Amino acid sequence: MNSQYKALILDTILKEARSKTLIFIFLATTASIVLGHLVLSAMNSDMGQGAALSMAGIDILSMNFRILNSISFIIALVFGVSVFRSDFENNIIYQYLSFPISRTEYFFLRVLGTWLLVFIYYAYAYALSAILFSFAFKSFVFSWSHLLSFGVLNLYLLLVIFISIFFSLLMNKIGALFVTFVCCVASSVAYGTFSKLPLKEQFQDVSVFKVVGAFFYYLFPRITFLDELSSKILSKEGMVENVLQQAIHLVVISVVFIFIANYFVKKKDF
Amino acid sequence: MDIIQIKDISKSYGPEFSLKNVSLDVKQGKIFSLLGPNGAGKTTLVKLMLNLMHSDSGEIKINGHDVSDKSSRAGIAFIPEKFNFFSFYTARGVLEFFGKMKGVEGAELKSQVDSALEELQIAELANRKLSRMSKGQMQRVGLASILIGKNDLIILDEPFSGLDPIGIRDLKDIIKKLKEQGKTLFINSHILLEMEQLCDEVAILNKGKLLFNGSVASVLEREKSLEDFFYKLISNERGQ
Repeated sequence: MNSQYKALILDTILKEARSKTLIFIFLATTASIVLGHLVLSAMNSDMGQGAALSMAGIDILSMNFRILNSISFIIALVFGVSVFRSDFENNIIYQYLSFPISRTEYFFLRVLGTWLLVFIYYAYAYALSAILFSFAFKSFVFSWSHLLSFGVLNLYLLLVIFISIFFSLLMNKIGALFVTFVCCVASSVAYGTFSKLPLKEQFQDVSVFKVVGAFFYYLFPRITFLDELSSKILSKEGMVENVLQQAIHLVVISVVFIFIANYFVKKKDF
Repeated sequence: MDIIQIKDISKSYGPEFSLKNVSLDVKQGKIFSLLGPNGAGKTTLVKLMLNLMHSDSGEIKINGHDVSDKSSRAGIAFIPEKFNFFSFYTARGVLEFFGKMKGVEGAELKSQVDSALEELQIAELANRKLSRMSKGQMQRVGLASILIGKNDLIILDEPFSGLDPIGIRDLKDIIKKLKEQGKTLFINSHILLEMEQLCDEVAILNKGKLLFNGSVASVLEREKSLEDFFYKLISNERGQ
């Protein structure tokens, strides 16, 4: 990786890592995990050690990861809408774009830097949970499914960051936060409904809600698919239905979104 | 050789023209100043040169590259009127970041940063965060950044604004030194007296139209000073 790329990624991490929101979430997450560890240690010393408890440890760890997933979603959203916008609102974007990098490089390096920051938070919370919970249960509660789930969820977070930065190109921070949140929720609801319906039924009894749902299901990246896949891996509750079809749709629509975002980045006047 | 080639550039905001069919060339190694009253279109032209904006028509080439090509910015240093960067950076941190973005690394970067800090007399501020600097000190950090990397073209937007008399004198010395090194300087400024002393060539814009483009010597053949020439030109234009 050349020095420009490394410098811009590090710059992205440094500027967002100073956010009070991140510091608060970081401290709150650490406190919650340590507290959870203390409660589990107390329970363990009262109830004794055994395989059943170790299994309970894995379940509790899985539940803990689900909570972390939700927090990471919020962090991804908040930093996604801020990372480009803060350059723009502080009039610093002129400086960045006067360097010999293309707008496409600038945009995607900002996405990558933000994702790495969220990844660091998530990996830290993940590792701390696994280590402390293993101590609480006096056995190693980590499983490979956690790691796989972690990988899938990081793809999900990358897409959330990308979508929030995309919207922040078009509107202010609050607007982008609101629109990204609404789109992610709408996409999640649409995915929950449409993915369970056979194709024929998806277009029967057409209503406004169904049209909106179909719009989000077919024309928006199905990020909830990654969330569901991550949860299924974590809980070992079988596989997502039509996993290949869902994966292909996700890749195709995401690529289209990337092209649209790149077009907007290239055409924007600053 | 022309380092900047601007041909028939137009840019409008709605029905209002910010620039109308502007053409001008800037020769390598010259100090060129773009003059004009507020709202003349000077900043718009600089933004177009840096590809921060897109023109409605015409083309701009820098070092032979179209401005949409990132290679056109490979040898450019740009300092806006109010230099601003993220406040958690120290002076050294900013200069190192600028160097890396221009492809300078390792010992060469350290050496360039040290000499830029010395040149601008801000070595004692090297490890001070920008958030703890005065406007003048910040501006000096910005000016130090033009000494980092291999810059053939230096674009300065109102560079004297916010500087104290010592800073103005230092900046004039730096500009002269850069010219001696064969660099081209493109300066947007309102301070006509300084421009008359420093520049080889000037262009005067008003309401998006290029009214004059020529050498300072040719201006002084016609009028006593650049200020008189500028005043008459703009007054005539307003009278029409």
